[in-house]
Amino acid sequence: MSLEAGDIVVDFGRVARTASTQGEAAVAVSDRIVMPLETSRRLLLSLNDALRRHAPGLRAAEAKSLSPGEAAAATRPGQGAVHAPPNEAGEKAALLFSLVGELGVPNQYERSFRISASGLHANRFLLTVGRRDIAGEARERVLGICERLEMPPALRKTAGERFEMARCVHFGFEGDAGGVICKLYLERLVPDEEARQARERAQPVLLHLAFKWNPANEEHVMTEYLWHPGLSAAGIGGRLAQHVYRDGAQDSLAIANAVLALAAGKVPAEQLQYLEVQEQDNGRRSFDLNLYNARLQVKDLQPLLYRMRELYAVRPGQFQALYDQIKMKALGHLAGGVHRNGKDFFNLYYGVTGLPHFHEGFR
Amino acid sequence: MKAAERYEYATSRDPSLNYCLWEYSPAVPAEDKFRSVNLLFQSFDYAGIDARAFDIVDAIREAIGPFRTVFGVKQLEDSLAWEFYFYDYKRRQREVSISRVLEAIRPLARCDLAINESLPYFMFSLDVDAELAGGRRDIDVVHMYVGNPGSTVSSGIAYALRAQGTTLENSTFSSTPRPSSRKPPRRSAARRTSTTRACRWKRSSCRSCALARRSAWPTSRPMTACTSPA
Repeated sequence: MSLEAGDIVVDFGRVARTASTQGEAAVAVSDRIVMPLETSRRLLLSLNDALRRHAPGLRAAEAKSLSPGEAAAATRPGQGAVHAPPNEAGEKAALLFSLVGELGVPNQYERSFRISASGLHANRFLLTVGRRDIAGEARERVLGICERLEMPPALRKTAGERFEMARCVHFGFEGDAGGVICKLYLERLVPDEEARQARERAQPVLLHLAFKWNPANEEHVMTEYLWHPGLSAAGIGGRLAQHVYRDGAQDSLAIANAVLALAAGKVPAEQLQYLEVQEQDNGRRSFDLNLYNARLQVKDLQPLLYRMRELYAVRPGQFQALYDQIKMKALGHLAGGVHRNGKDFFNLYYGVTGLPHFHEGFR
Repeated sequence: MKAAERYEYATSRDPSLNYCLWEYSPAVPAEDKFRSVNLLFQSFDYAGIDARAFDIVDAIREAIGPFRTVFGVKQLEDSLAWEFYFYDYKRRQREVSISRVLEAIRPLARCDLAINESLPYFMFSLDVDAELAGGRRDIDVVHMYVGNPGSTVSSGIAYALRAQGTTLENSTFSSTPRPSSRKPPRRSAARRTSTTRACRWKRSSCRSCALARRSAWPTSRPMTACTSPA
């Protein structure tokens, strides 16, 4: 088999005779197949598919050259666990649902997925409650939930000190094979006058303060979400190009701009909510564009979602399985940029059961 | 949005269904490969018909679920046409009914026909063309298929439901072919279908109406021939 001018060439033939004493052999080529590289890739996939069902037989054949003991070990089927191991992410998510349910107040549920070079992660959601809806000591009850979710004491202390800013509280969760991250977001009610002044000065205002931690260890981070009130589409585009994506990721910038253009075609960009996200001591530089007012569905972003899938080389069947489930859901917001690990990413939030109350009076 | 931007890929959970919506065992896993609905999308694109055709597909899938529609693409003299086929072998206990599908696409394609859902049909089909997709005509006929009483082979009778009344269109009988003595039969060989069914497009140039020529539905065995459940 060889690669010639970009084509894969497969020669078939018969060893005719030994040509020399150095062990070289003369081969009489009888057939030759030349195929484009892409065709050969597909052929390889098909061959692997065809061989998969014969895997036990092939293992048994290979084991014939082993000693009896080694052969027995090689051909023995894998021993599965009698009981499935506990799923930490599932247990933590269930605990969060249970604890928020115990508050006994209305809440909003919003799912999301993250897509990046690390893959597709769809086990993410937010639960939102209004602070005034919580009976009794809201701070103690919210922090009590965080404690049950193993929020580090130092972070819990800081969250308690900042709790007074909260108009509503978001509990966040994400879990995958790499572990679990729990989050507490405190969302401010920004007075209209403060927002108006911020717009005039082209300065952002703090909208959310988030506390994120890994229950399995003491790792935690505090994240600021800064709202740029009243930005035009050009203004948002400028921030994306000159701040969020200033160091590259031009393909991602193009996708973000296309989402912005789509939403701005439905509603003035000033009625969208553009946030920038930052964390101390790491290089996170990302954005969050709230698209609810554009009243889009996930399927309206289909070509752009496919571009994300291709950009991050996510398997098409894996992405399709998620997309089939969510395509008719209301589109929430798009986050993206450079994450704290330095990697480019997008998060898409969707399917909330109601519109959030974010400064709808401010135009 | 172009057809290529809509392309869908098979997931590990996609069923393998033939053109009568019977399951079959695929020769190889289909995951990550094109779904057959891409053929339909590409034919829309090729014909250059109104984008509402895609919306009709979306509306149908949303109403009755994915993998429950079979489509045929027909080459007429100078254009393409399509037929969407719906199966539900539960007869009057059906989940996929004519009324349900018509209601789903009503915002895109109106149909004023009165449908009698108490009839024991097991299949129906709708004709789609550029005029319908463009909103320039309503749905004026529904093809309804009922079983053939007294028949000992798989068969059906097709009726055209129109505002003017119901007319018999054709009848179809299916039988299992005798294995050839010279050539071994294929595994799960498809049955040969004899049909008196006429091309409903009434045009001699309808050359590629595969389903019109091979209309068949299985009695006990799945068929290997497969068109494209969407």
